[in-house]
Amino acid sequence: MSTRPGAASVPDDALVEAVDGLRRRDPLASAATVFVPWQTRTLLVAAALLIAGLVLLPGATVVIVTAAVAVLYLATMVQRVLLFVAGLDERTILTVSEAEARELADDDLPRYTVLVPAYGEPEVIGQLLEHLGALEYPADKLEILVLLEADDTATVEAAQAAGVESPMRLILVPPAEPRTKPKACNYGMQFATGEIITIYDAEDIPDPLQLRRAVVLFRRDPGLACIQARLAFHNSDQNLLTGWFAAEYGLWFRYLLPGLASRRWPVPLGGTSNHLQAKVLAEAGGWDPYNVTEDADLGLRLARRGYRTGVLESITWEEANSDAINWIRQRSRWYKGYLQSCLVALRRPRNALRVIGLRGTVAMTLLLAGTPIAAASNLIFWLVAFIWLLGQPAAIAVAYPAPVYYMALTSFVIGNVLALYSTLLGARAGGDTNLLMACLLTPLYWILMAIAALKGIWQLLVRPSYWEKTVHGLDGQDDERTGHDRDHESESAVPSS
Amino acid sequence: MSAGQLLRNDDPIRAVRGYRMVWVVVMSVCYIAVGLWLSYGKGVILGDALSRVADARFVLFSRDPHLAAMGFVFTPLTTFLELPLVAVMEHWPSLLAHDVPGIVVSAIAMSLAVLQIAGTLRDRRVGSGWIVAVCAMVALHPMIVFYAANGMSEALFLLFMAICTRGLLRWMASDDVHDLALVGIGLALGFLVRYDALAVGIGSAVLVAGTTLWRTRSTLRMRAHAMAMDVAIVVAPIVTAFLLWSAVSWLTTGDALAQFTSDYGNTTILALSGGAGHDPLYRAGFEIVEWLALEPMIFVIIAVAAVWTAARRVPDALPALVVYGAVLGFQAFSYFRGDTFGFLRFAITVVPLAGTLVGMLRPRQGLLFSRRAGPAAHLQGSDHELSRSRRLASWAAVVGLLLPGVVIAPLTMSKPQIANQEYAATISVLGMPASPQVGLEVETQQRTFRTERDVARYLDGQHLPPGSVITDTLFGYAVVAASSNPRQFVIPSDSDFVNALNDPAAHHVRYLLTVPDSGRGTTDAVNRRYPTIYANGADAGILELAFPNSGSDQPDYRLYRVRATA
Repeated sequence: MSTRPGAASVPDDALVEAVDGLRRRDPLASAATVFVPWQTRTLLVAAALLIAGLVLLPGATVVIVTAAVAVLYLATMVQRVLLFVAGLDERTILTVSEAEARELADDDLPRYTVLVPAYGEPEVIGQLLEHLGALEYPADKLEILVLLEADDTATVEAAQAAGVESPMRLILVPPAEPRTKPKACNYGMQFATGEIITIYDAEDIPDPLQLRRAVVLFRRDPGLACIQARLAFHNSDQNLLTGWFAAEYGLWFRYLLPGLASRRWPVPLGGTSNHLQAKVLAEAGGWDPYNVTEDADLGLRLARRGYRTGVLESITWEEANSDAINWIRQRSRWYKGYLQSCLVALRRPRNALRVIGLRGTVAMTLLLAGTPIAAASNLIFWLVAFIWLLGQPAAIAVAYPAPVYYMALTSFVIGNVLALYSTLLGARAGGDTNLLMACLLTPLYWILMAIAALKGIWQLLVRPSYWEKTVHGLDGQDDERTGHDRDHESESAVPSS
Repeated sequence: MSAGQLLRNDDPIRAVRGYRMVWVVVMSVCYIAVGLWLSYGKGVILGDALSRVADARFVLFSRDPHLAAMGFVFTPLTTFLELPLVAVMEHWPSLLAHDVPGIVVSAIAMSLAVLQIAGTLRDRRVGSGWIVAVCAMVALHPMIVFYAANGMSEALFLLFMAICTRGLLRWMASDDVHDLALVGIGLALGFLVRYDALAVGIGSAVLVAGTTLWRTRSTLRMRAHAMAMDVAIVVAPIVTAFLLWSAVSWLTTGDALAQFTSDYGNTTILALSGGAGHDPLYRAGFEIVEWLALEPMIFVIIAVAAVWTAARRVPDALPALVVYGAVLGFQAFSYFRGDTFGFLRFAITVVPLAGTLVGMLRPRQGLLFSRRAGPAAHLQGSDHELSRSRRLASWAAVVGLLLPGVVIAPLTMSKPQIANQEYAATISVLGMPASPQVGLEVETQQRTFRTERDVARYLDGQHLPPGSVITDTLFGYAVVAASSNPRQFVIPSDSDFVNALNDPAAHHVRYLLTVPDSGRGTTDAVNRRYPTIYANGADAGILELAFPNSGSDQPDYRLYRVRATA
């Protein structure tokens, strides 16, 4: 991406900063270029070696590939289980009691900025006023910036009609590409006066005490730069897909992220309800408008700069994607974004190792790159396993000499069983007993994940900068403008296979 | 302070980890020492134990090493755990022939089982003296010592049952998903040791369902959801293990439930050994006699526990009753129906049952440690000091209810009518007087597997190339286990076994190792192919050597040299 969209048409410093600030100051931290030269070279060399190997030594090459994949699976599985078990201990998630949260005197509270990016959703403005109005925080310390695209007339009019008043303020983002949520947030950030900044989506229903809880936590542990609150779905009962999604989200926000945070490993943030120290956010360079999961990317960037993230037990309710096609679009974008973020994070490997440590770097790579890659290759290996069951053809036997076979068998059987069981345990521990059926049927969800992962990886290679349009599940309206992400509840949650 | 530090500092489980290691090492070493003495000194080697060592050897060192070679008659965990030991001891066949890998596994497993019972009591924050006393009554019980020291699967099974009991008991107080998962995983691993765990799975599911339904405060619909979820967590692992095991078994052997249907399984053995014997009523009575033989006060203990539960309205006795009771009930019912033998070892669970129930006589005190206490948690135990009279009464219970088992079991275990598999060892270890006939049987039992070692030594002496001796492992396992050259045998798990048996000469097989075509020997693969081979060589072989068996319950062997024209 060498063009600078918007820079010419809108001569506004804030806009230029929002679009290009990060890329200009720290080009290696931005996904505007997906592969830096050494990464391209490495990939090409690996591909060339693979092809040469397949031509010259097909037997050995196939065995090496299957062995490598088996190792990746085993490593991913072991990491998942360890993180899950660590997170299942309720002490890994940070808690602030209601009393503690209310104890803070109003005068004692810092200024707080809430960013609410919205686009093409006139109907949710009313909800927004209601839900964010419920936040218990003194009005003179609170600032809610509703970030709307200036040419999104319907939403802007709806907002003006609803009478947005203090502590809310309308910020109109001048039209410019890329039309992404991170760009809107970067723009809004420059108007923010709070010491702490957070993001909610227009339809989010945050715990009214969440801001106060975050303040208590920041004071309790001054080393924290960022606090991620827990996201959960209120429509888990709508259909099987929302049930799966809710169970997965539960696993992600209740156990895996707290597990990561308790070990001080990089925490890929969710798209909303992350509370950031304003000065840290500014220092880190804000969000990357070129990364399709700018939230996860920011979490990794904070970790690379030596900042620490905690996970707070305070729920923000959201709405789960209830349509399979739409879900695949959203998920393929997430997977693509994970890979983007991981590629960005590994661009200075020595730096990453020094700051995050070897285990943290491995954990991050397994989680962000391993997840989509394993999800995609699942499809291939399930097929191989099925064919093996049918006739035990010699071609497959050749690819699996005994050690590889037993490793693959272990991760296939135990890995899938453990993945399923941890989903079940996660739902039970979180009190989501209504999700039993969804949990037991999770393998079907993995098939959806595999499709999304294939799509995401393909896009990363072929159309790295394309933003997958996601249709809003319930309102059923589609946005006709190309290249725009309408999925404003775009927090990167994750797959658990 | 980060959560990570928090976990390291105030986790009481970590605090006692050091002591637990010491206990495990001390107990294991003692049990192993007893085991070596029994095996080498007293010739006590049990067929089922040795056969698992042989299975592990097939997996690693047969001509066709593969995991499935361990066979599908026994569920696989015991053999699986013996694999690394067999790998290490491969160059000392005498250790394998004397079942040392099995002894090590059973000794460690039994030590851990005792430790789990101790943990069950420690969760209740009762005094250390009490814990040590109750656990000693279990750990020193002759039946427990014997099965810790003989390499059988009982020890491992008791370990997982103790984990289930502890998990259920903890869960009833903590409502913690960790504990529930522990029960589920314990059941699944238990199933991978013995099928009896299926009965425990059903019992645990009923207990969990009832508890959750009873204590969830919500609408009926939500209570049903909560109940289904909890039951799913408890039974999912064992159901998965059962399905996977049956599927793998079916894919490999064409037989989903080999224990019940194959020629090597229990059902066939039972039929060929003349059935369970006696009429059902006798068998029912016999079962109760076996319980009493190991724990004479067991019914008093159960009655006391029941009265205690009713009086105090604390269901602490239920998990032990459900878990161990399910095993006992399942065994008793199977024997009553004539589906299994009336072995004393099937009653071994009365020992941990008695110990755990008596251990419960002291109420829970202090705070139960939980990593994620659920909504129905009730972590706080009694905060009253135990009164002096209660303290004395509980000590009296140990002496009056548990000690009799430890003291009387050696006597009952020396009776052939009660302890068919244990009496010889008991008599010879304790140097008890016995009638001439019993004395003779004891001597025969002490010689068991000596003939098999002789057969192995004879074959080893010829330094045969791989694949020279064909034998079924139905009885031949003991020969393979004792051989210093396991690759000389062609065994049923080898992919070319059937072809080699059909035309031994063409496959460079030099010897056929045969057993009489009677009793269980009728299912021997070599006899199936050549029904008269043992008697006359069936035109396939020329008799080279006969080995009359000097041990008990084992066949005579005849070694036939393969005829070139066969």
